[in-house]
Amino acid sequence: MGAKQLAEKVESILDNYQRDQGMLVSILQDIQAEYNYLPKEALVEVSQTLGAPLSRVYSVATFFKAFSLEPRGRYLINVCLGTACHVRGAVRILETIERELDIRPGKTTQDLKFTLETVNCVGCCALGPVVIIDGEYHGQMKTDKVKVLLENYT
Amino acid sequence: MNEITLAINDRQVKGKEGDTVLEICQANGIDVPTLCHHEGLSDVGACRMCVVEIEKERSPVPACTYLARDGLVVKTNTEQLERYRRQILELIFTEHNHFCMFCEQSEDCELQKLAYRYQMDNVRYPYTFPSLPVDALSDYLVIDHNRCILCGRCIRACSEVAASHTLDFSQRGWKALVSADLEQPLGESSCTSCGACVQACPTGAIFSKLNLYKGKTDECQQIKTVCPACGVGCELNVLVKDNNLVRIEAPSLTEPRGPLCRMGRFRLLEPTPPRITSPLVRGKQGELEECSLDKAVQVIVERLAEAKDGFAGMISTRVPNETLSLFNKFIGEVVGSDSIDTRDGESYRIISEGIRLFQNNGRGLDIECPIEDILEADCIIVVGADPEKTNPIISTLVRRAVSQRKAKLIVIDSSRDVFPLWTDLWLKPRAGSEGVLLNGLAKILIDKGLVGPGKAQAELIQSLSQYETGEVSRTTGIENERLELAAEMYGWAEHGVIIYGEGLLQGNDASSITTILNLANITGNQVEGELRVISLKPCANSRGAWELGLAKGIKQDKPKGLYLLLADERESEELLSWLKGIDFLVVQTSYYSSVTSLANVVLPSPIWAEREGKYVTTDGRVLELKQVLQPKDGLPQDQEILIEISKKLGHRLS
Ligand code: SF4
Ligand code: SF4
Ligand code: SF4
Ligand code: FES
Ligand code: FES
Repeated sequence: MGAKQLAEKVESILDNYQRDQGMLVSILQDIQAEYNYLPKEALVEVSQTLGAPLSRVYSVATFFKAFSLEPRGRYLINVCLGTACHVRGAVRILETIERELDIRPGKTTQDLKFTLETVNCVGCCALGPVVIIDGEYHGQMKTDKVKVLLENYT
Repeated sequence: MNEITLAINDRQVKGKEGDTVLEICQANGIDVPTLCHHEGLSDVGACRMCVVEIEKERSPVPACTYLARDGLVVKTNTEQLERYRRQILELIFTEHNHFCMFCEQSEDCELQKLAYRYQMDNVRYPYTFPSLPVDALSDYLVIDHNRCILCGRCIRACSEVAASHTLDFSQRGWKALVSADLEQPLGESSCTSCGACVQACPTGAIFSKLNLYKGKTDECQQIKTVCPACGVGCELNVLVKDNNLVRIEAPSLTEPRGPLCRMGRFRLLEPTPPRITSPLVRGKQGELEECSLDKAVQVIVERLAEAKDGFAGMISTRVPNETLSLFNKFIGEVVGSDSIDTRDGESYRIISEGIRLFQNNGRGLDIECPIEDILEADCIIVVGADPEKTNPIISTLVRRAVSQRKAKLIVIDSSRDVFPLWTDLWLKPRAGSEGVLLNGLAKILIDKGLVGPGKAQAELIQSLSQYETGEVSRTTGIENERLELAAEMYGWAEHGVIIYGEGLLQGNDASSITTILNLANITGNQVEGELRVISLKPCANSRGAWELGLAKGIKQDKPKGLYLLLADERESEELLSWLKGIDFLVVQTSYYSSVTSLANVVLPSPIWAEREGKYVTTDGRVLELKQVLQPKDGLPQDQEILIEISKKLGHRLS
């Protein structure tokens, strides 16, 4: 993505909101929708064009979980580490996924395929340990099922 | 403001409408504990330490954000409130690492003091604090997030006082942090190291490396004096222990000359070159040798008796008026020379020539406005000056005007935009064409009729006729539209301030200064004989020295002999090369330097903290420099040495 293209895109989003500082959250939402994350260069551009301090823009960008400052993968993996899942070996499942994809929680694979996150209880403890990929629930996970499961997503 | 009466703890007290309950309590000596409140900063009601009970309110409310009304009935010290406060403290202690024995700020910490006050001998909740990073990469500052209570005082100081807007909260919940810009290390961020956040922080979360382990507030003597680092003249509160500097604070964060900058707050505490602790004379081998004051004076007296002509005097403008006056007499009456100058005399001669060309009626530096005027501005032009480098508080005031008053900022500089994050318009003239640009602006203002009635006199219009916009644009390399835009921004402003400095003075061009004064004059930026123009002068007491008439100028290209009272000013390349080839050089200075290695006689001189006297700020206020340290090794004051030499030459100086 060229710096110039990005600047133009961000400008046009800002223009949609008449460059109004009060619309910062909506502006960031649109940028996130465009790139699937908030590139740092975009935050700098927003700060300069709106005349809003960079620290403020960053503060808002990190406050909402919906925003991500790193590129996100096509598929979001959530590993439940709630108590019920935990006692049934969720940590080992998580470690297996980490090894398989070579990333830590919060990170995205190089090929931008997967982003790995953890959650605390998703409300189906009876199924634990639970892994959710792209909204699909996979219950009673086992370490030796991880590889096959991931291969289903292309 | 309407007066209101309320009952606090069964006592009738008075206040003004618009006061918070906390303000009224404090004004009446009623103690309410606080943490996130800081005098002069806005209130956010984050910590809840200041809770009070108010009749008809269902639950306790924070006094710092609650507006007082007539007839309110308030309780600040019920048993329930005290229990509640202790509980808050316990929670704060569980959320981050507050094991005080490993904290530099222990004994100087508001949180710790409150814990003692509420006898918090145990914590009933589990410690849940995470392990957080420490940022120690900046030159002066450390942020230890583990000690942070997320009160936000630093953030408000950084935006409201420093107007730097570097700090803000990032993330949230247990991950919340105070962070700089895009969560960068402070040293790589937009932080100017002013230290306002250090002073605002109630705990050991932000502190300065330069204050570490030197002493606690209670062990120190506190002395108020004036900052010797630049001509703004900020007040310093200096903390001293055992004749050592411990810390420098701002007496008030909110006064315009209050918040201090990295030079006043930190750089004065940095290690210095080795001190001159005894007079030195050059011996037979050509080496400097320690000697008594008598011996050194003897050498100087002999030389002066031999040949007085061709002798000159030069003095730093870091010394107070008293020393300057005495030096003036010393060179004039004792040495008998009219060849005298200050280190920065050249700047004076350019500025005063500029003022003389503007109006030949004997007005001097008093034609400039006070620096507080910047805060009222709706348009500011900074030309040939880099206030962040030379006078950082001026730059703070400019940023405040831009962020709080939406002032327009125009920078005129041939090499860089000195306010990169703040400028509305940067005009980049070819080097040396600043004068043409300023004249061009004046002409546009007149042509567009953006001048006050009767302001543009025929003579001026005539002299500007050669500055057609097209021509100006060709000479300066700036497009017409930008020139016109700048003229309009300034011309339409109600309160336009022009700040100029070093860059313009080095250009040696008095007529540019005349043009600046003309710009302010024709646009009516004038109050009671003062134009809204500020020149940034090189040193803390430049104006004092200039007004005392010391900047006459050295008569010879290279004097045969020179008495240089350099005090604690540092050497510069340009000074060194000028000194080379002077036959007989006496240097009175605080530090060993390349200058002392050129000298025939070296005499000691106190540093800023060891002397006292009057300073005149860049805008003409007279302030009192106080002695905060006893002179090292009982060294004499500058004046004592001058008097001693005079005595030997049969003169009585006083
Ligand atoms: S910040 Fe205060 S309370 Fe916390 S460890 Fe340091 S001294 Fe103790
Ligand atoms: S030192 Fe000054 S500019 Fe830097 S973060 Fe602190 S208050 Fe802001
Ligand atoms: S660093 Fe200090 S002033 Fe800033 S939020 Fe933390 S405790 Fe408060
Ligand atoms: S603990 Fe995993 S779903 Fe509840
Ligand atoms: S001091 Fe009032 S809420 Fe913190």
